[in-house]
Amino acid sequence: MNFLTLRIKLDTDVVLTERNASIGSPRTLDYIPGAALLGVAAESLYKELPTADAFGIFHSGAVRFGNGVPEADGLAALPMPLAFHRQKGVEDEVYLNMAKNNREPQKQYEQCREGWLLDRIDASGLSVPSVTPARSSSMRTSVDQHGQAREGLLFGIESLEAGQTFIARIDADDSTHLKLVEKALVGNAIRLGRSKTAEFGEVSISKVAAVVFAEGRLAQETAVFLCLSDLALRDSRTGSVRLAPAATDFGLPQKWELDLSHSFLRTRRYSPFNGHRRRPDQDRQVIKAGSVMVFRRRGDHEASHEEVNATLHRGVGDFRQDGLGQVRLEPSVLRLDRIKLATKPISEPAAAAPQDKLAGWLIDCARETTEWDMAWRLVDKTASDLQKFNLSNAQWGWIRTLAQAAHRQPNAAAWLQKQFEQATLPAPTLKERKLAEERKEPISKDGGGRALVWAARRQKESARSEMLNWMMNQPPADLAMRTEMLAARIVQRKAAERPR
Amino acid sequence: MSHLVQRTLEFRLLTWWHPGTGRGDGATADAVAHRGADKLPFLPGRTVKGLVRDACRVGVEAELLPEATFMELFGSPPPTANNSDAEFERVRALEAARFGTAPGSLRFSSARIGSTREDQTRWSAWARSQANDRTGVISHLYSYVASTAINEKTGTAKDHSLRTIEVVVPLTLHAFISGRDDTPWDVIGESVQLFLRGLGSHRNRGFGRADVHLVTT
Repeated sequence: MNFLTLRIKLDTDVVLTERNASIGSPRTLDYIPGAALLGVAAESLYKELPTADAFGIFHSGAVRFGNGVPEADGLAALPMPLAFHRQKGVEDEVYLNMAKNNREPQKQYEQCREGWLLDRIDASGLSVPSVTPARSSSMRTSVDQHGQAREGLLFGIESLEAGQTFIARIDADDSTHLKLVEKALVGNAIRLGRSKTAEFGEVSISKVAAVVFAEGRLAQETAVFLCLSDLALRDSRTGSVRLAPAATDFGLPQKWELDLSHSFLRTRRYSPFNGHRRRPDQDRQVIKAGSVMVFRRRGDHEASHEEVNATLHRGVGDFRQDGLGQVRLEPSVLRLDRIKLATKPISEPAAAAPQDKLAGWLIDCARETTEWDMAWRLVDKTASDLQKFNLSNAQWGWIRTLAQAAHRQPNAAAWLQKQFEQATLPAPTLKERKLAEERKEPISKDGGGRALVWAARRQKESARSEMLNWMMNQPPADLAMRTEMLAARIVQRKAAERPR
Repeated sequence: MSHLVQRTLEFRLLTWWHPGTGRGDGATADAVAHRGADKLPFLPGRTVKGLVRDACRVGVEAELLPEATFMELFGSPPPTANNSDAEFERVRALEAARFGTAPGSLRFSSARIGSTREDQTRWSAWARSQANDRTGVISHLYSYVASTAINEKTGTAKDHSLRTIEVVVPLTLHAFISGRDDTPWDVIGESVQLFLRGLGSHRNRGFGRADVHLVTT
């Protein structure tokens, strides 16, 4: 077996649209099509090679450029098998493998269609890691020389995010072809996908140790196949597209039958874009990756493991050079009756701050924000304590003005505390005088003599002493700021609590 | 494969700037700034290409650069259609035009914080590691500017004209341009320095003023 395993790391975002339309916002594929790798190799090799070799590598299927699939934990992921379903409307993390289970007539099921999973089952025998490649999208337009958006050129771009890695396997019948392909792909500056001239498409390709899938199990009565890539079948008699798989497609005896009640197929139609000719290629109608096909034996026709493996190794159907036709015999996840998909939480590793002015400025801003946040929480608590003194908004406004003036003093904290210590009680207001006259109570210049006024004065005195106590406990550098915040917060709380 | 040469393009932003997305985020801002998955602001590579192309287009008019060289560097112009045509004809014309375009020889990266690719990777890794940081250290790169239209007769704000946009602090970004050996780098550098004065939206209102030049190696 000649094959090469490559790791493809996305150095920038990469756009690999599932259809080549320029209108609308087509979604990006969540894998790297083998055809994209074929295109890169062809760009550098095609002109140098004799026609026969060029045909052999790029058109005959003798070299099969497999899709780049998401890598996680050093493993190549499998496309989500379409056999996994869960009951509709029921919040359940467990999915039933309907390739093994029978549908219950009264229940409705929803299929799990998106994502990838690793062919690795945990100790519980139930949980399987799932992988979802990260995508991002944005709206773009063309801008004319006047800075205005051109009409009719608004479009969306969805891309695979940079930093992700994919694993691709390239199989070849001839090892010399494989060496040429390796030279064209590994270690060169490569761009894939759309919008390659600006912003997108930069990847690094390196050769890695072989990723060999465990051999699938071929039971006596049943064969279960998972499409790792799209499958393009053709009717050998008429040449037309065929979407119904037959047993012989997979090396099974002709009499084995497709069990439709336990098989799950989805199809799609697309037209690949040939970058060299800059034209779309012929339309393709394919069975989608992730489709699960269950064949059952009829009669005495026994299947040969060697025949099945040889067929699967060659690839099934058409366009095998583009990576279509990769099929696997019953991976271990499909042997389970049910699975639970385990999503790995994303945690970014710690990284040191860059050593430049901008990073330093950001860190200072963040520190100041933290100090403000801490002060605010403290002040909020103090505000609820001091509200009981029932001082007026005007008086809190006076305190706030003092705090703002303190910022201009050389020693803000000391100055502010002195203002509070030396502040004399203000003379009775006009309202207090009138009230005293009405009640025929005596009132002195300093406000003494009236019970109501005494109570108000005592309250103000208590408020002043509590404020002074609080101020003594604040860091001097922050005192003016916190006092200002406190005064503002109390007025804000009073306004919020006022009945509407 | 021909040998590619790389040059660094430095964008020194002198004022607050707004890399538009065409999107708002509801109550906070009518227009949010473009940022990457790492939450750092950046200028998309397609925007960088457009800005350099526009500057070089003025360079062609100023006879610094031949038209043929301009087409070779930047490729075919974006397709246009006669706006008076029916929708179907307009779309058909655009679709047909895309098969007749030719790519340019220059390759542009996005303009990001960090003067080298390694610095940009370090910045991105640090920004991602701050994602759960409650101080929101990266958020200090952004601020909001609110503005309103004034009724010329009354001098008061017009109703329903309040608009808030998210802007980015003045900072320096670097992008990388790759081209063939025979690329006229000096002319591109001259055009960019002379004719590329601002970027992003609201340039007529003081945002996005920039000093751009090709870094000599």
